[in-house]
Amino acid sequence: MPEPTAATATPDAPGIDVSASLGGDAWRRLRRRPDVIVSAVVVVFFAVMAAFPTLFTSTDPQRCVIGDSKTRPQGLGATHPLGTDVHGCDMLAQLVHGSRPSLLLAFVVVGASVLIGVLLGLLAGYYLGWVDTVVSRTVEVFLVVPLLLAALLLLSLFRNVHVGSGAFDVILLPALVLTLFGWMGYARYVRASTLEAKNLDYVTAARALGASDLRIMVRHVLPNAIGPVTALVPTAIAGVISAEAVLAFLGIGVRPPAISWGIMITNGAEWVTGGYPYLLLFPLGCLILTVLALVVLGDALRDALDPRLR
Amino acid sequence: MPEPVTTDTATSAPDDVVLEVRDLAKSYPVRQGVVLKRTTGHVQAVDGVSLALRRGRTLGLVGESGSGKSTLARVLVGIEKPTRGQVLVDGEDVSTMSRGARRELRRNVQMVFQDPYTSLNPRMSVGDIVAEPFRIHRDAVPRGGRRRAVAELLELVGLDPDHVHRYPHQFSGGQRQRIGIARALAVKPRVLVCDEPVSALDVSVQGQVINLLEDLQDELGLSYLFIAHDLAVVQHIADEVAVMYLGRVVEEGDGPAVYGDAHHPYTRALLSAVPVPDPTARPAEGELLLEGDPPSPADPPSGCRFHTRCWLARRLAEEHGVAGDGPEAVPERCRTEDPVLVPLGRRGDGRDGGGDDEGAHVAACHFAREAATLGAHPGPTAQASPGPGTPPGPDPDPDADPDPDADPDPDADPDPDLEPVPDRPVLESRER
Amino acid sequence: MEIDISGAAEPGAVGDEVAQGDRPARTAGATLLEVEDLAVEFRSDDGALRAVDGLSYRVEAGRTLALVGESGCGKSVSSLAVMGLLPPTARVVRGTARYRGTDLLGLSPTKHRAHAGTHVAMVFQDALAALNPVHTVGYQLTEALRVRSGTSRREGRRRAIELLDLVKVPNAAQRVDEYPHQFSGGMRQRVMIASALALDPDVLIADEPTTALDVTVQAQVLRLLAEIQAERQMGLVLITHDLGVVAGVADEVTVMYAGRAVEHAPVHDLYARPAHPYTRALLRSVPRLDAVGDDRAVGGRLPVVPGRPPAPGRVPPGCPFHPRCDMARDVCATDVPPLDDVAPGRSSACFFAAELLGGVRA
Repeated sequence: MPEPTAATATPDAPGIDVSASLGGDAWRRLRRRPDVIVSAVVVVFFAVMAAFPTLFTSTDPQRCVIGDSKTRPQGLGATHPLGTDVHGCDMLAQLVHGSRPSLLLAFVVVGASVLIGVLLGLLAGYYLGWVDTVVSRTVEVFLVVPLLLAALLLLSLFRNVHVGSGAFDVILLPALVLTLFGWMGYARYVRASTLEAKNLDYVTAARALGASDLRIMVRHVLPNAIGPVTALVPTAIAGVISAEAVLAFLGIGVRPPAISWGIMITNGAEWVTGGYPYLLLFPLGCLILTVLALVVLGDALRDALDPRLR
Repeated sequence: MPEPVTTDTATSAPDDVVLEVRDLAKSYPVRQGVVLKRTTGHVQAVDGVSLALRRGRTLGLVGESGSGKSTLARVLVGIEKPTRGQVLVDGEDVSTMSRGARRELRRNVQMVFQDPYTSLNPRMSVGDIVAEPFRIHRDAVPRGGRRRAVAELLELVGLDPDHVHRYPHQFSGGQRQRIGIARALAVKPRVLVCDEPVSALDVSVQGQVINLLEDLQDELGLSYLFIAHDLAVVQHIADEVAVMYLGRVVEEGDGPAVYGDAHHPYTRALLSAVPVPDPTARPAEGELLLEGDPPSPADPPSGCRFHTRCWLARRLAEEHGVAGDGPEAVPERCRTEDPVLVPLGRRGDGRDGGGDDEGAHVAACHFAREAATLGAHPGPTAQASPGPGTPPGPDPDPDADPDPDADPDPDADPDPDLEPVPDRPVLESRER
Repeated sequence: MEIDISGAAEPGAVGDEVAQGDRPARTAGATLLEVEDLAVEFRSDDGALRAVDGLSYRVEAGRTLALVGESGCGKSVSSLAVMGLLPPTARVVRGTARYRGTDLLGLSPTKHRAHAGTHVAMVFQDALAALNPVHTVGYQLTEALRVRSGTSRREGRRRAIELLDLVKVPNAAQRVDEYPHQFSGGMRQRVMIASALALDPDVLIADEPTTALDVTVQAQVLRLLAEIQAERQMGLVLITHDLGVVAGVADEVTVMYAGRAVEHAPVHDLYARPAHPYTRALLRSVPRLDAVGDDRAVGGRLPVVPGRPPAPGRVPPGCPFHPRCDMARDVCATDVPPLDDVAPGRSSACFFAAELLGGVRA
């Protein structure tokens, strides 16, 4: 007989009758945590910045005066509150306008990768057999092909394709490349946890009741297999933003004249030892802040949606 | 002894059988290799099992791990497809039906699981869990009546219907097992396959769940296939008992016959190994201690599958001077010839006729007679025949057992079985 | 079969000065381990949960004490406390555990584990989880020897074979180099016992050692434990929920409920005349093979205890068993009954123990 120790022993059902929905209850729990509130504020702040950059700065990030190159931060109210970069472009304006491509790219890439990865991982883990063989071998192929090599290949393929300059157009190529090489991790994690979850008794129980494969996958396997993925997402977002900077070098990143945090970080890194660390620290700070906020939010969301932790 | 539950067996009509398996086998391929998987062998989890379950009755299935009893359960509820043989629900072969008809018929056979902690989806509320069968079988209960149906089910299994919004972790093990039973009952099945339903529960809670199962059986006319490794629990709840070893049924019969008059050496060893909660009945020389663990079902022994651990084969070999040592020191026949289930139809009280297969006591041993008579009838039943807790200690449980001597089980008495056993092996004389 | 353990116990061979040295011989009946008034708490969101509350027991050489109870009663936690193996969320709040006079609980955590690990060994329920899958069985068997007394690899292997022989693993010389997954459940549990015996402990605590095993294998392992114990005059603490197992091997029994000992008695007395309603209820509610002609055996309803054991932190006031007790009166809901002597050698934490005992005698 399994004897749960006191720490894991199931406490008796408390007197309160839980009648609220899971979602409503999750919301009430989240509100009580100050770290969650701060994180939410940070994420909303950057999201608003990406959506409406003109609310935060009226300076055109493209208007660069080479004579003002590397002006140190001047503080609020001055012409260049956060100083200028090597080319004399306003840092604040660049940060603000760089947030849109960076965040958009991150969410598009991670969203698409999670979708593809979870779907393939779930199918592979659930059906095994040839589905699994195909998915697993594909994962391996994509894992061994270096990202840069593939990027160069795509670059040559799309060299003469003209894309527009809308918000989505400037990130199209990097999004394609990064998604193509970003889904494997999720597929592997979901496959592994699907393998585990599909043999649990409650999945067997659903099968004995005659539930369809789709129902079993969606209702029983996925909710309990998705946990590891939520832990991967925040760091994946950071990874995408910095990988974009690398791609920018190859000409398939965010297309100039558009600016992004990734490009700013790469450019700024050269000047850290030269006495201008703020060129790196401002964009890097924004990135770290966003990622930390997402980590906290993701964690809290996972806890809040797990009835066992209520 | 209470009213023998087997008296109606002989008269029960064949259409009383709600679930039957014929020569059922399930094997799993053993694969090796990473990219190109080669099948290198087969694990015969279940190998040629025939059983019948009648309406309103309980068939107990006992055996050690690896005996195939859980695989059998999974085949019966349709989670696994048999590699050979038939599953008949209400006399109809499931495998020959259309998909839809099969699904309908499958509703009649539901399952109760061992572990109340893993058999309920932790992310679903109790109401959702119990209502899930209605969502799968949409015609079972009209949409509007589902809420009430869930409340009724919860009430039926002794839970507060107001708790539908709670989650499984808010319940204790016993309560969770009740939820699992409610879910299984939702589609009004006629058969419940209970796979170790109480073995994960606390001792004081086990009885509650067993009593609930018995009440439900009386109320709803359910049939149970009750799988357990705890022989005492099976003895309590089962009308008939089948003993499995390495994928085969080695002995089957009504409860008192198997428990009181076991003919297969494995059954007798199992019975003697069960710890009895009575320190005055400590196992002594009479205990038939088996050596080693059950062999792997991937590579079952030749001949009788039990011969590698069989105490009787050793003893017979010693007596007949079979040469050699180790596992081979058994009669030639045990090593080479696979015993079949033969009726023992020779009961002291004559309750069962010889030729009647239904409910008859059968065992698959070349030397079943010797097994039943050799040695000091060391089963716990015999040790305790004058009643549990005989002197020096007074009866440990006077309230529940007012007069243990009043009605000794006739089957527990070894003497009627001690009819002379001819040298000729039993099998020859009984083969059909 | 006797194996040479003395090498492991050579004075000075071990860094810890209290761990080894001139240990008195084990004479039957000598007190080896004495736990007194032990209390353990778990930290949780709802405050401190008392998992063990005032447990006392004594382990004597050559005798077997069974700690019996249902899940959450604190029987496993109390042993972890004695071994110094409590999880970080738990702590001992009160009590002593004297091993031959040294209070283990008073030592620093490191010394506690070293001292307890040498003289008091533990066997767990889940042998597969307790063995590391990437090391051979032989390697793991003698890990303690190598760590504590610097035994060489070659010597360690020889010892490992001896130990496997001791626990009757066939072909020990060959199997010593195999990995845990190559062993069956019963054989793994034998390996666990062998590894517990490696340092020739005075006391062996076996926590549900046979619960995961089949009955026929359980019988083998129980017999093995009894043989080894008799041969070495160890003190054995058997933690289990199975009253059948207890009846077969124990000399003394302590029944636990909700973190407390509710009854202590020699095994024959306990089964013959339980002096606590909980013990009586437990004995009644088990279906038994030997209960021929008894309602419990076939057909009839099992007598049940209503409700279920309380989880730590939800122990009712007064006697913890009173909400489930068929003898409960007003006093039971308010006052905690102390564990008092009710007869020579036995005690019960029930206000009406005398009634229980007397009622049966009448």
